[in-house]
Amino acid sequence: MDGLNVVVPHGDKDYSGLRPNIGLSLAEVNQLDEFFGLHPALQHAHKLYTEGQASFVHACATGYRERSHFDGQKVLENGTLDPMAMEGWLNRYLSLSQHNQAIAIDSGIPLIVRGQQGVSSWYPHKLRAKQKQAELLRELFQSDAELGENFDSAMAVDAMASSSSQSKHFNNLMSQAGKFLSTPKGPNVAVLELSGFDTHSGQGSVQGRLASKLRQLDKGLLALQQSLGERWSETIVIAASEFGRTAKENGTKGTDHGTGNALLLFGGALNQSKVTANWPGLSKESLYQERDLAATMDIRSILKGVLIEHMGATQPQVEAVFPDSVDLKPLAGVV
Amino acid sequence: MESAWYQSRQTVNQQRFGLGARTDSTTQVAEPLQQLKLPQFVHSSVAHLPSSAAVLAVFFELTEKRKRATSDSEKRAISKSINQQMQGHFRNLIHARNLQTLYTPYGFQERVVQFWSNHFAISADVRRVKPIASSLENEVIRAHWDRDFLSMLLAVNQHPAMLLYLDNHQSTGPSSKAGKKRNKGLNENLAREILELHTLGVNGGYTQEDVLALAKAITGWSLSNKTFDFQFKEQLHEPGGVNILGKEYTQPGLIQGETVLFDLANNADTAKHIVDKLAYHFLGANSEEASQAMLAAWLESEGSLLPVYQVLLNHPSAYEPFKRRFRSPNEWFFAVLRSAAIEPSAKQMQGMLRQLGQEPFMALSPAGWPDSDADFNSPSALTQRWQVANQVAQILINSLKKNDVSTSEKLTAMIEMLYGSNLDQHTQVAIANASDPLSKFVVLWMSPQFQYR
Repeated sequence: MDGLNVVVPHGDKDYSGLRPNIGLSLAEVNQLDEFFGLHPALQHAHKLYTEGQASFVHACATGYRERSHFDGQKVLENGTLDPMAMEGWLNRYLSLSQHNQAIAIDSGIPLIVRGQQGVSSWYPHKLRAKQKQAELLRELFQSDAELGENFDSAMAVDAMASSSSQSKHFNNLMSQAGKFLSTPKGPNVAVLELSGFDTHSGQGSVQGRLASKLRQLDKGLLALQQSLGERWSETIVIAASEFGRTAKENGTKGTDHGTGNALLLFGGALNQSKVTANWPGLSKESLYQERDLAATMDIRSILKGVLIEHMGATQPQVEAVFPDSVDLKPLAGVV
Repeated sequence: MESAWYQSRQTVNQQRFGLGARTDSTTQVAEPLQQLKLPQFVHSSVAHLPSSAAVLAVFFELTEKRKRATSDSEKRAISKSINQQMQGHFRNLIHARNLQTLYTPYGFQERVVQFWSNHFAISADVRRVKPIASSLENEVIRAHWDRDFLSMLLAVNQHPAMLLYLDNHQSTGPSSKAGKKRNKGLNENLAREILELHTLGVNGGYTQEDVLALAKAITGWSLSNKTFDFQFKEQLHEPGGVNILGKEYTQPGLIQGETVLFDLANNADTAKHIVDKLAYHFLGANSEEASQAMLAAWLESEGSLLPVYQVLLNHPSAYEPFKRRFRSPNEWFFAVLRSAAIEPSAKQMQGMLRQLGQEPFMALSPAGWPDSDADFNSPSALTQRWQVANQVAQILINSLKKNDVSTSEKLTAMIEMLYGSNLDQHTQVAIANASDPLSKFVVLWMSPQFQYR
């Protein structure tokens, strides 16, 4: 995601010069503080900000410094520096803690929740009363451990989603996530993916490709909040992307793969709204490799902070969730 | 103890190395090894698709017309027509692909073609390639899958669909004629994916400088605004030499990029990256031994592909009777349709593939579809599969009624064709316990023996 056009550093004197076509002006953003403004497509997010329920951390990144989407995404989800590691950081936390259950709103199981701990998943479908078939299949799948577990899990989740809608739009998926999370004895962690932020060309500014993705995110956020009802007050939403994009717009009015980015936090469980950034600046010499926003904060520090302050994790637990990261102190006061 | 589900050579040919047996095939189906020597099967609907150049010409003309339009209403009408035609082309090309998968008698040929098509993936979520999303597969992969890697790599990266998909058509060298005049610049998207996905692989030891240098070397690789075929545009090309992986490339013009691709195709890391992926695709985890033998064949024949496929098929592990992979949604869906020998409508097929999470040419990434079992074997995916099994079973039962064929006769014929006398006993019991014909078909298609391969 192009964080520089989402949480816009309009106070940085170099910003507008880097982005003559796609940059947003002070008048176009919703002001967050004297330095940052929010993209106008994130309307509900801005309302949350004014209510003390949204926070942004800028100039952050994972420990990955190359520019492959696929590896960047894997590192974000597995919480290590090794793109080949096949266990998700959230799964490690689930297996270390008690009373936590996760669900993926996805037709597969994303890496972030893959691992030892069993995780359920759900995706819209329209199987009507197929009770007899379900019994046959349950019996049949006893001959294969993996299919057996998956089927039992699918049936258990389905019991919670009986009134589910079939739409696969992001806001319906978010709304369903809220339903699962507010079911007694149901999961208390949900993961979803929203793709389409790879804006190499024709990215747009106030309107355009990035704006329409942000609008989708914004609507989804509202749908989640509405469906969570009272549980919104106990919830934190983290929206993270694998990396930021180049500070300077490219020759095709878009941006290429970069480094430092903004991470978005929402939820009734936040104590205050703020923008946290140790801002490195956008002058040529302060850019990472003279091209990207430099990263002054590791995303793992933010995630550690959320795990400790929101989920009640201990220091040894977060060190086990994010191996080889003792130097990355949990971000304090993030919640 | 694991069950030996795939005991006959015929079942392995169809299930592990093919697209599933068709119950209406009357002649003996050629073995995968024989298929390598046979001319490729191309379904008439694929053969009749318009060329990418013809489709691009139509859209170019429409876009020009829209630019010249004087009123807003005229502009809107043209935009509407563009959208409709785009949807129309996309529907047609998806349907042609689906018929190809449904009817080919040479399942191994098609599996290999689709492997390469996924390796060099084009995704139709990028609008400018939507109406030509299958053209790379049909115009390049089908012509090169049984030749050598270098010629395929070059043809892929000089095809309009790839150049448009990864933004290279307008990538402009900063010191080129056009770069000096206009405010246009370099786009490194294609260069990055050539190194990361097409050739060396992400651990191939290249750097950001190598990406930039390759991006410069292939500036000017674009398409003609008249013929809509590949055209090298000198005025976009960055002059001067580049250094890639420690080697200087000082050739002028088009040859510079081609020389780099030649070296990348012959790089041992490329060979390793690709044979590992190919071995895993067919044989899953623990395929290192097969993959090493394939690597040796690749290096020995300098990237000729037939010897590599032959080593794969002749490897002792190839015909093991135990499950090696979980069928992908696309493989499973067509195995179901082929076992039933039915053809749902174009819209039904597209809808069901979408529901299974694998609509053709919609991987949403130049990396193509992920290819590990964990990506498709999950609770929610299983529910989607179950739902589609019911939908297809209903279509089958309607068609049997219409043709006055009994459901039990059909089921018996299907089982005979798929497994002979080796139908897993758990499946036999579940089929016997199912009270209605529809559920019997569903149980067969959902059985572990059918879902794995």
